[in-house]
Amino acid sequence: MANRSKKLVLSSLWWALRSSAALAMFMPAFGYWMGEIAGTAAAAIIASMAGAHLSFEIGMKMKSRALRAPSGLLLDLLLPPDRAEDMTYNLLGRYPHWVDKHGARKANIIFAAQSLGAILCFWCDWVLKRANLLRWWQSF
Amino acid sequence: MLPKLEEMILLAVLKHGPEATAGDVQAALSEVLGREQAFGSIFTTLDRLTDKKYVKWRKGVPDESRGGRAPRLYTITGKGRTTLAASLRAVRLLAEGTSLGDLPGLEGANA
Repeated sequence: MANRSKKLVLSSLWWALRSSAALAMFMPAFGYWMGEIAGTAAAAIIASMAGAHLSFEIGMKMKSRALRAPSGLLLDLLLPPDRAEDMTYNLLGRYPHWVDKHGARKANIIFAAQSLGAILCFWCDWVLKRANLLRWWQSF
Repeated sequence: MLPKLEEMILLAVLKHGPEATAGDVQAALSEVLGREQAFGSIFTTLDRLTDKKYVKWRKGVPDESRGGRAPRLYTITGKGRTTLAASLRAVRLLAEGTSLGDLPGLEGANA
């Protein structure tokens, strides 16, 4: 990812140099409107370079994030504390197995998917329990 | 008669000894079924089994390597053991005399 972004930045720079050299050669012969075209082209080149730089930065950030072990913050935020504690303990215990089997990036995805599944299951069960209680109360 | 997942989870808790974590149960089921079992269903089923008093749990010791969090350690109760035995006996009786009794791993079905 980083190598691709670097290549993109270098090629953008190379095309910027080439285009500006070509425009500088023809500008005196074509007059004012050529200057307008040169300005637009320069703006487009600068924008593309900024885009390439941004994609490079995002790529680097994603790479560094993929290697970081998950913290279970989502579980802590969306579940009662005692349930979140047990779930995070067990998911973190299984995490090294996923890293060995699938690699760090996929292990993080599995961790996130399992966390989301656990949260959904917990709240669905919570709603179903209350619904059953309501049905029982209505039967009187 | 117990639902299949509850039966399997009770068996995993029983097999793992007196203090099994949800992670131990998930690992055992994933190994037996050959695919990664969802933690969500394990946690929910363990909660249901606790409500039915088939298993009980106590808080374990916090582990620093897992962010200082403590697990729930599950143990099967006498009621759970009786219900599991009855459920397994019913399955065995149903399999008796069928061609499934010849399959490997079900040798005891025709006994």
